[in-house]
Amino acid sequence: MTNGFGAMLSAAVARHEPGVRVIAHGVPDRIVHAASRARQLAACGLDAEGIAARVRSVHGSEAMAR
Amino acid sequence: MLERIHSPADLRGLTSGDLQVVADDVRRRLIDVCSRTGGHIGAGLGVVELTVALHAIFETPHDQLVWDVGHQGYPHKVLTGRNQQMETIRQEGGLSGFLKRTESEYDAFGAGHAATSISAALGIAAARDLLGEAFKVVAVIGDGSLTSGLAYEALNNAGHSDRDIVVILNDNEMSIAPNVGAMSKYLNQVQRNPIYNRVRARIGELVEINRSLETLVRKWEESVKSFLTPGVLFEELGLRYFGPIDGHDMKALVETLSAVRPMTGPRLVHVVTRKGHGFPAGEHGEKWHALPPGHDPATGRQRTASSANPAYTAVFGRGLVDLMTERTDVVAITAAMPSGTGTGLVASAHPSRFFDVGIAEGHAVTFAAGLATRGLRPVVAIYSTFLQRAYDSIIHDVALQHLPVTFAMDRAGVVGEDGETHMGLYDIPYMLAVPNMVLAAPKDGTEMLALLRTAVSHDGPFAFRYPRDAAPDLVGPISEIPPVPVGTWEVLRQGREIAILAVGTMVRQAQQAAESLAIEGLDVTVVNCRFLKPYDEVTLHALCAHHRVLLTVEEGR
Repeated sequence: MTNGFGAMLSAAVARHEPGVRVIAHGVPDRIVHAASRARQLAACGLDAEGIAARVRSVHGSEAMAR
Repeated sequence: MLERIHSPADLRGLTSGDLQVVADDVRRRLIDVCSRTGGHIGAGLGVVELTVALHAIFETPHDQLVWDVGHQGYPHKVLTGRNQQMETIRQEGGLSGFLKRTESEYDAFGAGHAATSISAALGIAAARDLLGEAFKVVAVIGDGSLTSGLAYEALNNAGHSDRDIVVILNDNEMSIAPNVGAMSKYLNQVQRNPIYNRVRARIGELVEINRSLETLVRKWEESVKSFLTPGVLFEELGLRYFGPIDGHDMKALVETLSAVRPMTGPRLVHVVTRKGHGFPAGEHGEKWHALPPGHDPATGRQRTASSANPAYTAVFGRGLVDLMTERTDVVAITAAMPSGTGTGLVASAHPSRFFDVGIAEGHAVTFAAGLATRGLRPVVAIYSTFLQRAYDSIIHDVALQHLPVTFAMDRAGVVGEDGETHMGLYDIPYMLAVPNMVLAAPKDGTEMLALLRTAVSHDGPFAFRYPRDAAPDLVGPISEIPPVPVGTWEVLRQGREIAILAVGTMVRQAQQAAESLAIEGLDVTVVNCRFLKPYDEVTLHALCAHHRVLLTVEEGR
């Protein structure tokens, strides 16, 4: 992730709500090669499974931080 | 014959007759491959003879052959050691559908977007001259790409440069859709001018009398110029003009290219081809620009029908037609892709308010800005990847003047088989950076039409993005779809601790993720962030009060 919606919100929230963490999930900063759209989305973690996995890992690390 | 051609070196020294046999084999092979695997077939079939002749006369890969838009590159791939892999084209881990430097030493320059070849070839020629190297540089460009300004910038720069460079104008009277504009008319005139054709007949007689090709070419030029110079435009730009020649006549191609290769200075060879030549369904135009897999090569008909919902593109086209019936101030603009963007429906329903400006994205946007200054509401439908080419027009001509232009960015996000040259991954950051720009992404087809309705009533620039995919919903008529208040989000599921802030296509995926997480006892909030800019400050504030983590999810970077 570089300069998308996540980056913009992250900056806004950091300014006004420093207690809240923003984590940006999107297409990584590398070339996405030809494949079916479904496979490309899955490879980027941008399907339901990938999003759920990211939430679990975020939740795990949050639980650890408590 | 084709099985004996392991590399272009095997073509050199063959007779025109033998080269034609190779070309016939290449054509059969392409039809066979593309009917099974899909792909851009029309452009490739039109340049089979030209490709064989270029590789036979020019000493590739030492001589640098630069193609324009990879679509023309299929026969080139077959002849340059990739024949066995053609079945993998446009598939994961397979050959690219376009040209790629990392794929072959014969691909002198990558090509996915139109009109780059002359610029790249001139750069290669300048490097050669600077480094004291010796090879020929050939740029192939389609007449469709001559609707793009970049090609003229390059011709203007090449023309009086004295660089040794050959431009092959592949004139098939088509880009993807039939070409538009003055240049297309001009090239047709050149082809059909009776005086010119009489001259060409005389030159045929001269060939019999005088076998020296150098002399032939010189006499050709003199004779033609004494009546009329067909390529006067190119001559004025400083390129020596040769042609037009029949791009399916191997003998003419071989003779002309053999004569042109040893010369120096900038020169242009005008080759007339028929897109889809040799494929019955392929000569019929835009529809056969590219084939999805599973086509009958004899008829071009698709063997299996798709059962998915209509694509976003189709929903958009239909919605725009109806909105333009309702709103007579709305006008539609496409950059040579009426079918690809769904705006072709507008062409028939509201012809006077439909503008196909050619492969000219920058011009399309500044043209829209001009329309907007007089009170009209232009909707510019361009793929995310192609709109990259219009960035200065978006900032300088639309946004800084706060003009109400709508950008419908189709093919946003990952685009599948077209690969990296066509990815719509950059529009979020590039639009977020533009002052005054509203940026939105719908969660489904109905919301896309709601955003379209919102956009044409908004007092300023407005962009929305949607994917190359079927809409997840069945969409009703736009007349029944109300606008969305600008800058509002929609909380779809209320949970605790973690909120997923999903954009566009990611909303449904986030909802599904939330359902499976709920089964595991993890209760997350899901928000449809349909406006990326301006974002919903009220909802964001409320989310911050009740959550420790906000996970943003977007199909882009």
